[in-house]
Amino acid sequence: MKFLLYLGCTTATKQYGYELSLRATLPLLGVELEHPKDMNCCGVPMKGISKFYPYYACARIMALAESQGLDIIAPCNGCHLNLTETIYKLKLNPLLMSAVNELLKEEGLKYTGKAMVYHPVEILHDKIGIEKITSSIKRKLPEIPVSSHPGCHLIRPTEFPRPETRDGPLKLDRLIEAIGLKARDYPEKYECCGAAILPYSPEAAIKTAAFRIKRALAVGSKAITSLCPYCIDMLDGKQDAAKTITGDQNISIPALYYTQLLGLALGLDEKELGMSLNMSPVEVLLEEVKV
Amino acid sequence: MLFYLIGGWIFTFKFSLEDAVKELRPQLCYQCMKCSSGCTAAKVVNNYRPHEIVALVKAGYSDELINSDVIWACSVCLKCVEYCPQRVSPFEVVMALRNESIARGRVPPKSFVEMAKSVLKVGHIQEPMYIMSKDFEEVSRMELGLPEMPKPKDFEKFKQHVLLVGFEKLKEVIRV
Ligand code: SF4
Ligand code: SF4
Repeated sequence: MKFLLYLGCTTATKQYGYELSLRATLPLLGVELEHPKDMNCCGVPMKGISKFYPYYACARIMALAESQGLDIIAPCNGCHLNLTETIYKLKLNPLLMSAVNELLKEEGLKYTGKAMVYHPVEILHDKIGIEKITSSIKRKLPEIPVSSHPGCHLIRPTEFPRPETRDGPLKLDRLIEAIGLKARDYPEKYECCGAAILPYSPEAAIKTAAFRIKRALAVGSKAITSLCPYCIDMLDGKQDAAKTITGDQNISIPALYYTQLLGLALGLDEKELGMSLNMSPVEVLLEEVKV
Repeated sequence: MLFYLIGGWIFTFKFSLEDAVKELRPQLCYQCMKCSSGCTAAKVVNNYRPHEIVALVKAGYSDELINSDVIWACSVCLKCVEYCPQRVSPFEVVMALRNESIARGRVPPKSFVEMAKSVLKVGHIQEPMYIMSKDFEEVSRMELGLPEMPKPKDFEKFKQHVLLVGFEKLKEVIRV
């Protein structure tokens, strides 16, 4: 299985732990990753500037994948949503499809609707499969309670297909259990991390994330895990700010990418998985996982 | 080159609030407040209430909203899209108001300007950053052995297209 890895802005410009752990784990499970030579932003944070920009930006990304005859892995929930929405809307609206293709033609590109987009949770759960993961891991991690935070755009909107649904257990939870950990529900599971409020009010955004973390602590979770760079940026990277803003010094929990946990189970070194880049106390979890 | 003739149709990339309102039909809202009850932004931003925004648009007070920064508070959680029993989608209403404010030459909150500038400069909302690791090392993509972040190959063409699909006015007002 070979895919074009479309990182998007957040992962490629600061959430390096996600990229490192994706590049370290997926090939061990039979997924080959191609690095693109030409790419642009998917346009999700720019939707408010122009509703047309994301259509052009995403069609361009899909056209680039099509020109290489590959499907895309989009590790960011926002990119994945935007790319899926564009494919869906362009297919429904031939006029929009041809208008966008008129622009792409000038760049020597064309999107016909052939290339597809996948999120890592789909690659891991649907393409690789739980069975292959359980048989590939070097050791089962101990039964530590871990809360999954899938992030809004893996579930919403229901207008077009999303990787996860709320009917039944999450794929992410099954993946957590596949490597030995215990998936622990928490009340904020389907909530928003607040990342998109950052440009308007960092304080309001961080309050949102602080609330999520407190609730995960309240149900006894030992870590929060996600496969979205926005969610981890908020839940991992903003814990110090959350302490200052809310005055609650107990806000402290390891928050990390599922691919980092998977990497540990695959016997990879924490350094390879970029775990020194997590801002939250991941070393607490590492201690517990090592025994 | 602001419109394209496609199969006898004229397609423009120009945004119009009137069209958006026609499509989103805020007049169907019956003020049940389901949207605001679950709204992520409403919980942390005092004056942000999606049902009030929809009510104002419905009553013809869009101008007041377009001239206010509050429309930029939405967290894009899309819960209101799912909750609304009338399929109004307050989220889309808010995005339409944002688009209209840009079309009228209003400057959005600073961070949005920065992101837009960066798209016009490198094709992404920001450039790769140096990150401080736990061992107090400053690392970039290169030190971590990660390949260079790709940019649009024919950048001038890309930029021209970005302007065409809705960045023209913003570029004028922020002077890049
Ligand atoms: S998408 Fe925006 S308006 Fe709708 S519930 Fe979420 S934060 Fe509120
Ligand atoms: S949920 Fe829909 S109908 Fe109810 S107040 Fe909000 S926009 Fe109006």
